[in-house]
Amino acid sequence: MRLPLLVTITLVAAVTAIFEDQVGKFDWRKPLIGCPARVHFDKIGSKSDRLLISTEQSVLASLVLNTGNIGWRRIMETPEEESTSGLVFTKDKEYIYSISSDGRSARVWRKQDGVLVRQLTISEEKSSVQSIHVAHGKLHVASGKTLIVFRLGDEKPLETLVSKKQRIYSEFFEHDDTLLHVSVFAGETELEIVKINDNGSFESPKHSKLDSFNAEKCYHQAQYISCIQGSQIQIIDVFTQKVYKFSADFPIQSVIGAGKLILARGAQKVEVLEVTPENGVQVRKSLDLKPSEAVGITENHESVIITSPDAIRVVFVNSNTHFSAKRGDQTDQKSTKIMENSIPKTIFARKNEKDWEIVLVGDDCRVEFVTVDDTSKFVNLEWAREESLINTVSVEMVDLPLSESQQMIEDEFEEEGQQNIIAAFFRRIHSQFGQLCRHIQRSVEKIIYVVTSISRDGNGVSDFINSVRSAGQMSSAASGPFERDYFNLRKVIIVVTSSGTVFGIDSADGQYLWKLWLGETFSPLDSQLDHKRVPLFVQRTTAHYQLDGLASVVFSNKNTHNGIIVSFNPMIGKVESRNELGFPIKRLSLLPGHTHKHVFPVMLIGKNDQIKIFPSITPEELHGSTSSLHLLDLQKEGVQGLKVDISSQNIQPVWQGNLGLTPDDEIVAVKGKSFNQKVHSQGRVLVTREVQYKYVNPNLAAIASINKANQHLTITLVDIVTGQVVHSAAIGKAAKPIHLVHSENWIAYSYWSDKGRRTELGIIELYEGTEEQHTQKELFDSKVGQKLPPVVTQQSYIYAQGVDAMSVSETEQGLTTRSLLLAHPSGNIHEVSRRLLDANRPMELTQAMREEMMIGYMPEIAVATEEMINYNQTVHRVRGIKTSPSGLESTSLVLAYGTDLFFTRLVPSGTFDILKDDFDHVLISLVLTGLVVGSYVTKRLARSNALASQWS
Amino acid sequence: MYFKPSTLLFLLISPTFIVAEWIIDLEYSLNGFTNSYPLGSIEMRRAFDGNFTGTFKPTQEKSFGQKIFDAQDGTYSVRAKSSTQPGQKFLTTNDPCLFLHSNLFHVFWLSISQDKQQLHTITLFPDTVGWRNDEEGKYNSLGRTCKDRAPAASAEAESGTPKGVVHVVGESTLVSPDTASFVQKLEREKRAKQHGADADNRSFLAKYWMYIVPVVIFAMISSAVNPEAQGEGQAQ
Repeated sequence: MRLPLLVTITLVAAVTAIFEDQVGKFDWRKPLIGCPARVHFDKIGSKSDRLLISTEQSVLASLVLNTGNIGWRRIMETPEEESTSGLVFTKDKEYIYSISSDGRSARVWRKQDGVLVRQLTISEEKSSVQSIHVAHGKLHVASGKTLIVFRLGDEKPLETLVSKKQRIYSEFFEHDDTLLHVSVFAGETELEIVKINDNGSFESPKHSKLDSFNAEKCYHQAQYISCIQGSQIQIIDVFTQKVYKFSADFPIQSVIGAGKLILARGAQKVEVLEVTPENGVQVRKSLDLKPSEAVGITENHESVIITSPDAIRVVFVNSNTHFSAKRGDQTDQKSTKIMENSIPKTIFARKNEKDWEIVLVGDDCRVEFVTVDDTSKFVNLEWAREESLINTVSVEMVDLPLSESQQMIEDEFEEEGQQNIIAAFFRRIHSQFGQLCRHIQRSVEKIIYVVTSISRDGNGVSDFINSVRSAGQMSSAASGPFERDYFNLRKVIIVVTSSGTVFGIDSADGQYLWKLWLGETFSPLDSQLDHKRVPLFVQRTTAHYQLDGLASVVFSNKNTHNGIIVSFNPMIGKVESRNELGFPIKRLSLLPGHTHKHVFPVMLIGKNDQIKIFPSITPEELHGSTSSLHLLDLQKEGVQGLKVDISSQNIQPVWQGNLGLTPDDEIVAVKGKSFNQKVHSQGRVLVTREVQYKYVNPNLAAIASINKANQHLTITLVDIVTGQVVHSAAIGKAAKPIHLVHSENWIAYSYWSDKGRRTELGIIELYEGTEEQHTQKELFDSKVGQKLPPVVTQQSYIYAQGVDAMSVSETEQGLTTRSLLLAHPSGNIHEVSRRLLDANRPMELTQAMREEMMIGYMPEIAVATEEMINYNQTVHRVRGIKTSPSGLESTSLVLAYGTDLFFTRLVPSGTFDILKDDFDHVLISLVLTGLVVGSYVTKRLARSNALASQWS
Repeated sequence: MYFKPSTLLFLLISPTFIVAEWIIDLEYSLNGFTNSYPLGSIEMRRAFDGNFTGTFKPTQEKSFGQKIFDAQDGTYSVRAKSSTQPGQKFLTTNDPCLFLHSNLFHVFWLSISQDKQQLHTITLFPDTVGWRNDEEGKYNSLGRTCKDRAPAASAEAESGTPKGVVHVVGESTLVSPDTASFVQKLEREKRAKQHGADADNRSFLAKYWMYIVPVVIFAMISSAVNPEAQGEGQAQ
């Protein structure tokens, strides 16, 4: 009984898996590490140079210095409070020691390959004040109240000291074999200095009084702590407990240092200071600089590095010499790619035998590794990594423009009706001649390629076949990035990050096509649900080939909090306009109608209900149906529907009510439907041959809220136009994470069930009922209402994995069975067909149902490895999955973003409209011609044979 | 005093029929509440199963239809006050034109919380039952003026009073995975297999006729062809 069922399920599963030779064919992955906070130059073994980096996104990574590739990377728990300081770590010859899980444990990693060697418990308390030091075969860790010493290789602490108060500052200092731990307790301005002996024991603390102490304005160098107070700087030698003071004639912004040197940086000037016990603080050098320049100091050489967007200056401290080298890519000169980078923020540098090795980290989290030497005129860019992609918040996929031949066809039909028959005939001949020319040109290119590759590779049959095959592929890859391919599978992915960057990425191979930097004043918009939001709108697609595409990002000014809208061409990243509004943005939406230039305007509503429309739209361009827009205003106290009259620009409430939310309730998700979603089939055929019509209401929004007190998850479906609550249902003992997907006539949700201690997936489907209750109508009208309330069917399933993100596949016509994509915390992305996550799976299968290939109800949705769309390419901490239709009905394009970016094609119902990609045209046609020729030859042979035999 | 048990029961139940649990007062306006008039009230009663039903008690205002007709291209707004939620405002709007076509029949769609006896939202729809069948689907809320949408509003609506039904939507529950009945189903199947109730008792021929028939046909065909071949062979 269960066997056929299992077989059916495995059959469904089998079509989703990919073959080994398809690996990497249509998918790519970009592993990222995040914005570097601490960078160490390091040598592993005798030859391979590495960069050890800990980032703001709590990733510890080792980058190969020569290539910039990730040697290894370890992703740690995200701290509860957002911090930009990164993981605290130190290293010795073989191992890296880091503090993780909010200061509760120390981890020991092998430098070579990042293997976790040991985990040591520090304390039970969480704290963000951490420091770690390894010396004399011992590991010293301070976190919060605890100061603890471990012997290396031992898991039991040697010595522990727990103070009564919380620390606000903690650091280890080592000088001439003396090890000190310096800390400041909350509410005090006194330094507590504890000497740690060679055997790990603590000496009784000494105290050193300070005028004031602010942990955020204090920096530590080799043996000093320097604190900024306006234009004054206090430098404490922790070993002698002497306090030196220095006053600059400018307000000091930051202090960095290496060895004995301390750099005090102002907006226009930097002072290089040196502290000696004899003479106190002395100015060694004073340098002028621009506010856009960043200053760094080499770790092991007395030279200061000043970087501006177009040059790097190296200034020697102990001599009067300096040299500078120009930045700018000599290699990329010929390409006109737009690559806007921010100014560098931090510099990590060291002096080699020959040259200076410099790691530049920009405001846009771009990590650049450059080398300069005193003879070269240009900075040598070794590699660069775009790490802001780890903060991806909005993604859109845009079609490439039409190819030349497609444009010709469009041209032909563009002015139809205005010309007479002869002109139309000539136009047709002209366009077909153009197509022919193009085809010949392509074929000639291919033939040349084949001939050259044969002469290069040899002349076996297999070589010939191979070169013909690769010629076919060549044409698709080399025809330039700005032309649509036959099935529209290749797109430009626009990625907006919360760090203020916008990228155009080629979906074929993940290359950056262009990059925009939104400026230093960039700040993401706040939202009720997720903290950071940078909305991206595609206002004009490339479907109108005479006009370029247009996309816009909206964000706010960090200083004034006013909204800014930047419009750009999504193909090349050229900024078309940048407008700053006079008000902060409360909400925004794309209008459903377009201007005569085919641009869908963005409507921005300010805090005081000011309305601004970009670009402006005239009343004539607004059709009757789009003269007003309905918005949902969701607050805990109440909910209201707003009607925005676009022509008169006023907002008025059309309905008011509440969702019964208490102060304990939290709104977790609000999901509407995109207005260009297509529903292919209006109904579902039942086993009884009746049709159940779908309740497809384009104005429906699904709202999920959770009550923290009684753990009730409530899902409410509201019609935004009228405020009609179509359905409302709750379940007890539910907890976060909650994810919601709303598509067609169904809502899928996932939550953690505290009762079953497992994740559960639920599905709600809405139907208008069978034929008798359904009235055929051309459009859905919210205001008229239904004769009967929609029929709600629902079902729930056990899901054996956690869910990080949830999304649904999207295809051109909406004909293909949709699939849900669920990202697991383990880094898998699981594809679950809607056939499995169905509210109508019957408990008892009848013969008729079996003939309809229905799948019987099973309480669990199995997680099979072949259903992972990312096979073994782990995608960590997925925050969102964006799907987009391609030109093929069977195929949906998927980009998952989080710590990694992963792009692939998805075929929820198999590739029913395309030949398998290993379909061998060449071999088949060769065999076919061989057979035809062979049959002719044998026919002749047979005839002559027969003749000969008759003669004999 | 002595009560019969049945009388006691009757006395206990009767209040649920007579006294409404809570009352929602309605007032309407056709000009954004510059002038507002009472529309009536909705009385909410709890039935035996704990669900609520609502009854609309309209005011007998004769000029209601005329007012709607006069303001046919305006907005018909209804404000509600629930007796259980003092201070809370509920608002709903719709097109007056649609009500002219529905003979002033209203549908009040209430979403409530049964446990807390609170109103969440109230939504006003024209009752499509009042529409003539051949007109069904013709009316919609698009179009600039009322005349654009449908040629003639029924004349009798102009001098009518509001009428209406109430539809109440409560909070339902989301289902949990149905493991219990699945396990039951498996056990039932297991038991059925053990008892052999499902065993196939048909005869050998009845079971495997589909395999036997082709063999027989094949044998017949070959025997029909072969004699000739043999005959030819003998002839040579």
